[in-house]
Amino acid sequence: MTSLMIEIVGVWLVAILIGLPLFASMGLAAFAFVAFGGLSASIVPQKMAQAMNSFPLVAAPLFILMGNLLGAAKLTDRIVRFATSLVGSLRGGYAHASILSSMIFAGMVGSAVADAAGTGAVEVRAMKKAGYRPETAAAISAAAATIGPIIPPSLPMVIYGVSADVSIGRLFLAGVVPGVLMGVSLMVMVAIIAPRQGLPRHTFGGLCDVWLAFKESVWALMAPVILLGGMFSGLFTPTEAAAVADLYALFLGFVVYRTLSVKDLPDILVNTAETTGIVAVLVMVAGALGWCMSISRIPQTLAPVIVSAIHQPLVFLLAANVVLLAVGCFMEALAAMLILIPILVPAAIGFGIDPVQFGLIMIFNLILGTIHPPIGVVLFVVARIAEITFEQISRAILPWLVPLLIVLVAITVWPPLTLGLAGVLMGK
Amino acid sequence: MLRALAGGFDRAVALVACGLVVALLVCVALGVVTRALRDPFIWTDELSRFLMVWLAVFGWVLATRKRIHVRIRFLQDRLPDPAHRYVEIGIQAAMTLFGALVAAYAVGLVGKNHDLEATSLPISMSWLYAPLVLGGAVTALQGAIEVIGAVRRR
Repeated sequence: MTSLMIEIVGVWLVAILIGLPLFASMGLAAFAFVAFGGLSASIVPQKMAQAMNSFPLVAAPLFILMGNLLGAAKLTDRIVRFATSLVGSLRGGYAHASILSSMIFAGMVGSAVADAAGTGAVEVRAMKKAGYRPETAAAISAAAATIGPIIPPSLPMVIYGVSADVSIGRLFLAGVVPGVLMGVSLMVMVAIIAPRQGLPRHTFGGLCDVWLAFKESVWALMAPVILLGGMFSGLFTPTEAAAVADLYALFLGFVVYRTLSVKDLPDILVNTAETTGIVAVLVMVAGALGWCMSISRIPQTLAPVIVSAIHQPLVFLLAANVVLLAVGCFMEALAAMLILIPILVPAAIGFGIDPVQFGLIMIFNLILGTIHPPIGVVLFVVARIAEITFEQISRAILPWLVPLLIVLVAITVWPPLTLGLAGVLMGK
Repeated sequence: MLRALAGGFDRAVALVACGLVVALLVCVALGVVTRALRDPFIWTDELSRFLMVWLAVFGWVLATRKRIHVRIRFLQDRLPDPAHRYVEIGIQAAMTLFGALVAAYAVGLVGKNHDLEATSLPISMSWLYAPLVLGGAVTALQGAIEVIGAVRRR
């Protein structure tokens, strides 16, 4: 059955490249496997439904809903103003504020695209008004948006946790330090380029201004505190935290800031259902195809081959980084993750690498693909906001990949950066 | 006539999808609240999972109708016109085949699980598989319509 599966995987990859929607190509590959393998075809829809019949996965639509609610409630303006009051007086202050805003916003939403469309719109506008070149403003905003899925909550972490059978809470904690490091490294980069490009300072309004901005945004700033505090105090699970966060976002939008109206809800809900559908159908067919792979013993066959061919865990991690970066350039992050998890995670475990650390490395690599041509969905979003061409942003983003790649190397070679906090708060 | 029918169908699917998102949120929140009150409802977890399957399929249907599923068009978009169209016909035919297979075998699953009852809810396990019939059927129908459209565009 291993050779049958390899043949089917070959045809399936060709189908993906030709342009067949990913979910249909994966589903047809699963049907082909059961048909040629002499198994009952009803296994495929059965495994599809079972893949979705999972309580941790319920967090996915609820986090998507939260991102949509926060965006519609226009909380981003308040967060950006608070961040600007804090770090705006540094040289390149709006760039620093953009990165800090993305770090705060990352604690509320779990997607780079949501971050780019949310804080990105406000940040790019402010930077352009302050005299930044549009492509520089767009590049900074795009690079900062990648922090979104690394600092918890994170949609890719929910999908990885469910697919690789890893604790989502542990993955969330593992993302905190790398997320902060990403922010700090981008700020160092701003500090280096600011004098060269003559990036302006924002006048410091004094502590009074900081206090006013804080007071205006304090309810929004409480969202990550409630979310992460509730989760890690054991009050609720990550899935339940998502529901609590939704209710809190509704409370902010309807009661505190009154920026949401009932008229906004249908669009928010339909958008949530659509995004859920795009992700969920991939998870469903990946469940069916993953079952076919396990029956054909592909992971069990490939993992020892990889382990015996590479020998060293570090070499495996570096090779995995190269492969994942390349895949991330051409394939949507969640889809790539679902395809690669059954192959790479068993191999990582074979090398004695913690699947939580490997999950962070995988997500980090694939998220970098969202700010890298030719696919680069985040680049498309910020290019539209900054009113520049995709080619301009593709060139401007290149230097900003350097600090992020340095953080990637750091989390690859030093596991405590990802596993340390989870170890302290949740035990070994 | 057909266009009005499709519009009505899309609105109905969107309405049900909105209801499912709200129901899912309420159900998970109920689980948290009742546990905090030390009188937890035992059925919230299972109901959330059933709702998740339904929401996933309704979202899948919405995304299919709007043609926004993930696909790599990089190579196809570089093909000259006739080749591009033939590839598109092939892709949509494959979508039709996939949808039809899912719908057909999901009907069988609904029948087989009719007598099985869920663990904490007084409902049949068929409800877990029933939405796949809709998801598969809409995918097949949409694919078939796209094939006809691509053939006519000649």
